[in-house]
Amino acid sequence: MKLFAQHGASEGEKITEGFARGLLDGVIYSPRDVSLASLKGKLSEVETAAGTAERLFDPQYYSIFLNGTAEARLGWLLEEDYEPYFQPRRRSQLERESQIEEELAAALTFQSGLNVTGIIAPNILIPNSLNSIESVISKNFIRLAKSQYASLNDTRPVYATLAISRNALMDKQELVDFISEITLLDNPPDGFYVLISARNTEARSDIYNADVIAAWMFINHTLTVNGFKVINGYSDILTPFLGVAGGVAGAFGWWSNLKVFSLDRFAPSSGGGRLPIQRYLSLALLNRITFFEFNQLRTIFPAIVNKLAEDVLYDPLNASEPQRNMEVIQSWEAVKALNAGLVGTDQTKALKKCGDSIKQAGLLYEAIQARGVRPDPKSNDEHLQPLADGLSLFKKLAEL
Amino acid sequence: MSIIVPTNADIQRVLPQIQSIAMLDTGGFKAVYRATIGGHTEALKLIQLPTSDGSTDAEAFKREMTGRVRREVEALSRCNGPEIVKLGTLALTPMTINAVDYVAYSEEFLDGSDLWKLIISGASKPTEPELRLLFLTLLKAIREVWTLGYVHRDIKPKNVMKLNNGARQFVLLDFGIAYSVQDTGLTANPTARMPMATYRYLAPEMMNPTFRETIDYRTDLYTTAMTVYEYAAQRHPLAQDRDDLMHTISRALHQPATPLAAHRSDLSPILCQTVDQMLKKKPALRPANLNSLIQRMEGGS
Repeated sequence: MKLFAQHGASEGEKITEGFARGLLDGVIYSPRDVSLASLKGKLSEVETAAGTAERLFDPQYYSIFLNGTAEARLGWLLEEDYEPYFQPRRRSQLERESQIEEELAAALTFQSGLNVTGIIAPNILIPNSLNSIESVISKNFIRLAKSQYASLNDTRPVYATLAISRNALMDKQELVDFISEITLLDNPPDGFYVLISARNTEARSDIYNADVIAAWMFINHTLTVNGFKVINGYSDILTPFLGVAGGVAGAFGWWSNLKVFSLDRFAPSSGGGRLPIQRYLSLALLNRITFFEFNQLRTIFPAIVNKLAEDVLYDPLNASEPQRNMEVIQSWEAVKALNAGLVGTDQTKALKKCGDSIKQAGLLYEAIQARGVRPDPKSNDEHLQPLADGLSLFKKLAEL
Repeated sequence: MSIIVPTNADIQRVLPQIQSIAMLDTGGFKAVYRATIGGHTEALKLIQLPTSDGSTDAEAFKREMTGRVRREVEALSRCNGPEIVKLGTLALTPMTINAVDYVAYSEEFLDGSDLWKLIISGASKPTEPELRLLFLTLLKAIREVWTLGYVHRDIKPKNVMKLNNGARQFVLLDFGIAYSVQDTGLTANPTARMPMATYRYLAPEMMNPTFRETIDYRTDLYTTAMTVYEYAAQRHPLAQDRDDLMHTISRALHQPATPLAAHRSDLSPILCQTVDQMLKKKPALRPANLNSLIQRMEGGS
């Protein structure tokens, strides 16, 4: 299972460091947060620094309906840099197949001029139901991606974007019917770039929900069974679980809006925020805890320490507080280790390992709570039951 | 219900181009003969049409049966690959013998035995190369049939011939219930009847009354896997001999098949896993990339 950086605002040297430390296998750039000239420079730098790394560009077309909305946070997408494919559109325009062909042609032609290793085709987000007009539009984008791309005589793999709201995953029959259709295309893409959206990036329970986890794993599994390469965006700690289901890569970045996918990131802001507290991703807890919780617990419960190289970033002599820009390095290292520990060629064994790791995390949380420690709401064990239930539901859906 | 079999002499009287004729098999409304036509040995297929009392239902059923035969011949006429039986020299011919309506046509005569006969004969179990060749043959047949817009819907051991011919070892027969995804359905009231495929080999999605809206070749992948499994293990992956119709259907819908490796531990994991995966209940879980499957059975990974 490969791990990619999900690029976003305030990149600094994070991605460069991630490659330098051997933690990343690729990067997915976000045009919202980078000018075209700067993007080209970054792509060249990555190629030089990590020749085998995958370099991808997410056209972020799913935010197109916000183009024209006052105060939408579309950043560089609104500049002329990305104008060739990012023009204001209404849904009704995309109900015509010929318009979708034009949109695909524009976005694919734009990307073919970039120094990327694969092409991510544009698509809209399916917001509410897989049996909807948006779903039909999305299927048309997927169905037509490869044929539009073929006209460019480009040999790089093309990935269709499949962006679905977590709400649309609730109806399992609709999910099965939808997947059944996109796995039987006359001219299929080489793979899929899968995004599951939450209402907002702070809504932890939106993604840590048994139905959502099971559906996301099922999507990875069915697409892989059918020969597609699946790259998951914004997959964060779920990355190894998606890998066990069949996915080849997952990605996440430093801010919470680079760990959870949501159009909220592009919509007008509802108010200011404050910098989050740095956290430590503990393999044993399958969760991040604040650095001061980590500092408090690391000697009492040594099992929460990953015993990996980047643990030095959380120096006990500095109350385990890392430099803010290095937090993601530790996260990438931890997820890379989880990938290595859980994902394997024998799916039955790998699923059992996932189940065992959830049980072990539960026991550790019990021990912590028995000592009277009450972790903060994001650090507690609320993710474990949905993970366990999601795993179980996935096995049922995938007939494993 | 079974066919009212006319005498050979009656058949030769209405089809004078037949020089000699000998019955090979009967089943349902159909009889198959070895016949000499124009000096060549061919397989003559005689299908009895239902008698009609003039009622709307009876007329519709008769029309449906006639349509099925016409569709079978039309489908076969469009197939070119060696994996699928070829038409013979006798075109589709309607006839009435002793007040019973029939249609007849001929196919090439295939010298060999169907897989069902081999399974029940208790012959030694096939080797992996033979199973791969069988798998490959059926996958190529499905690919051709699908390219032409059809789903076979009735792949089963009885409809696959093993030939006494080293260059062409397996052939898929019987397009009697092939379904064209482009044409109008033939069934008079599609939601009122069970699909016609032999129920032991029905794909789970075919139990859905509205299956015609979504049917595709993954149904044939399921029945192909059943056929390969049964030929390999010499036992059906789901049904048991004492099962009645309801038990068999219930197993098809709900019970996972025992992994093939449990019966044939000598076979390669790739072969067993591919068969097992194609037996999944949800069509989307069956690997649908035919070219990739063919490559896999040809020895790739």
